[in-house]
Amino acid sequence: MQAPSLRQISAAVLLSLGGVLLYFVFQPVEAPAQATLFTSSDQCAACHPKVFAEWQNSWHARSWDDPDVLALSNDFANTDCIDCHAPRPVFETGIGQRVLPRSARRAEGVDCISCHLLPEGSEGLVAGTLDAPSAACRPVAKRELAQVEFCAVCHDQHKTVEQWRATDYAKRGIGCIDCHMPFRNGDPNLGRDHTMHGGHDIELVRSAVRLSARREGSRVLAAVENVAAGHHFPTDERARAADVFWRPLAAAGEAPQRWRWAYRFRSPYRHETDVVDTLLPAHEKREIPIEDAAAAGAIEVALFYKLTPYWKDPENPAPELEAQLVQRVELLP
Amino acid sequence: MRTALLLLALLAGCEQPAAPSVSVFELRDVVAPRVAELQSAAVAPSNVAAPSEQVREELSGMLETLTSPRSSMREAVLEDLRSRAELFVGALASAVEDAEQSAEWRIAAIEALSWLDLPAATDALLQSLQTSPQPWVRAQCAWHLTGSKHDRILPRVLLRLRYEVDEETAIALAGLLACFGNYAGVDGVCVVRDRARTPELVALANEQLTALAAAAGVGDGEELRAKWQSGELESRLPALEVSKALEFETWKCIQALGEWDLRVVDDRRFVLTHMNAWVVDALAQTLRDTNVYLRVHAAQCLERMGPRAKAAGPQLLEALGEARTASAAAAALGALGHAPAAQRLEDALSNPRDPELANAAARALGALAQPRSIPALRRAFAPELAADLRQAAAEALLALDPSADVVEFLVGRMTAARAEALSAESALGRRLLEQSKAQPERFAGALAQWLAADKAESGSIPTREQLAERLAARASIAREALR
Repeated sequence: MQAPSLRQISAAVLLSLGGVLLYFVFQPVEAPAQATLFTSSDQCAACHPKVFAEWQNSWHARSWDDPDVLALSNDFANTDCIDCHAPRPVFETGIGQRVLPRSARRAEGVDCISCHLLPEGSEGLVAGTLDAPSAACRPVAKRELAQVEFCAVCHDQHKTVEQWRATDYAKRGIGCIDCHMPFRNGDPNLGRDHTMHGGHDIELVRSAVRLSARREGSRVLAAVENVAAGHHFPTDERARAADVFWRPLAAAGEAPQRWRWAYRFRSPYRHETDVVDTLLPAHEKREIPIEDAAAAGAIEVALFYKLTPYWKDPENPAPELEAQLVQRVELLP
Repeated sequence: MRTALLLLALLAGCEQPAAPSVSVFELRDVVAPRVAELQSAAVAPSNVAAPSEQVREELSGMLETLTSPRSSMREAVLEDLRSRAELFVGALASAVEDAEQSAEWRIAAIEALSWLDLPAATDALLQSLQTSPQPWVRAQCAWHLTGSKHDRILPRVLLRLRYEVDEETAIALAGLLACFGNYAGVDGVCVVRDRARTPELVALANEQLTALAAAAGVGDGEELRAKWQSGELESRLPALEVSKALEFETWKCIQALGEWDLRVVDDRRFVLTHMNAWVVDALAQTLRDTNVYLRVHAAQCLERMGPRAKAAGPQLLEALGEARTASAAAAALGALGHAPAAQRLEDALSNPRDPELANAAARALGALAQPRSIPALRRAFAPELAADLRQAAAEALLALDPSADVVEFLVGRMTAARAEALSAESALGRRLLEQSKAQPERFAGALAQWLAADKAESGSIPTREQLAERLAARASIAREALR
């Protein structure tokens, strides 16, 4: 066998070098998932069915088509509601900034994309609790997701976060998600519940306040104390209301009398120049005098909660039909 | 060597082709410098000193005289007030809001403030117009501000128009606005007239409409309303002289579009939308501001002005080149009826990477309603595309090319999960109404069924179940009638 010539050796070396170079140029890197264009939250359901199902049952998912929202926003003719009821991604404008309104897929309301999608050019595609570059959605850990400032981009439009800042909860570092997005079954390993319980969950509302009543001379003093809401009661100013009613206690077999209105906790709309803001701050207690001769006998006092502020007949409200009972106490003579 | 060259050629061949050059939409600071520039024109805030007890007592005597029937004394008192106006403004402002005094006494205070016509007196009347809890006080303030020469108050009067619930005050506000060549209040007067709560209010509304129509040189209130909303009235009337102070107030409103609180933003959006058409130029300039909120909300104001903002068409067309402003600009172009935008909007429909713009473009093309857009809208209606884009295209096609597949798709959207059901319902309802007008013998029955399908008690909010029931019933009616 003839020894290879210098020319052949040089060619072999060059080819080898070329091969090495080509390898480094075109080597398969540790497969980052292919960039996906997220255009709908439906795309999240395949990998995150549990979270997606929770979100579907949440009020975030109904923020666009809930009949109360439609009525109070005049079918979104009040366009300032659109920004938060169908928001573009929070991370697009940034924490501390107001969100911008969407014109696409508004019916998805406040969806996965609203909270998790990162802007183009970010390190990953979505914000999550872990870095996982090989996952399809390439999540990047973002602590901001758990901060009150994140929720504030929308919820402070109704002053909820501002109210929270003045509370003891804020000083103790208890934020929005501690109550409204708890760990599933209380276990941090199971992640946070995306149902986002709030004012539509009457049990949560019941746990926020304590109703009591006592006699002082000839009058009755009902009292409502904000014992557990991390913000005013009720919050989400303007739309929500809580009313204290009372009536003589019906004897056994006797039909109950109509409820008599005593007090309302509510913040007014801008046009309601004659309505005073009566929201109940966190940790505070408000006494409501009931000065009526009929209250001298046995009475019952009740706190009712409404998701919309108006009664069908303001002169003769029907709380049992139009509101939800929060608490009720009896007071004997 | 040849191998090395081959290798280099291979590597060179792997380079991406150069991206086509894209024209850059240049942003700059527009609003803040303009506000700073106009600052010197601002009327200094009224610094009215708290009235002393002596001034109060003297004023009390004067108001007693003004409310008495002796007219000769009345003129003398007004002259006295005018000669020492600065001294009495604060006390008069307090007197207007003094709920313990008689109505006559308070009206006399309003009248006296109006008579003074000082900036501070105007501000005092405006303050009561905006905040007084008593409707009759607001109405009196509006009547007595009418004729004011201080056009800087226009934005604040428009804001009051937004929230005014008292019908007499709404009628008075229309007259006050008309003094500044602004007829945004006419619509409210028509509403009061049509609601007809009392014969007195109907008569007052008719009287106001007649007076305003005569002042604007048109036949009646309806014509006035239509010509104001279409922009025809302003194009015909001589150009308004706008004071620097009003210009300053207007640019401050634009600046507030960047505020955090959406209620502030929405108030300013309302004011700017109802300003006279000279505001269009300022809003169009704002489309270039570095602040995204200012850009987007300026485009929204132009959208709501509709045909009155048609002069902004070219600038809005340019704003389609700025990613975050583009969808708001597209919506505005549709509302303005800017026909030259059709090509750019059709191009935007075919860009799958920007669903925001594609959706807005589809709806804008529906508003432009040009037959040339049918092929582009058909392509956006293709089954493989996103359902919300298909719906936007279908709603646009309903007026242009209402084929059975378009109707069927929209009918399906009325009952589909997480679809814009009310938007589909609204589009099909409009179509049914149009058809009913064109062919009553064929469609009037279906329209009657459609209207009857709304079972919710008037004035009450339907439950989720009632809403679903209404949508299902109407979907069925539309399918039968329109397919």
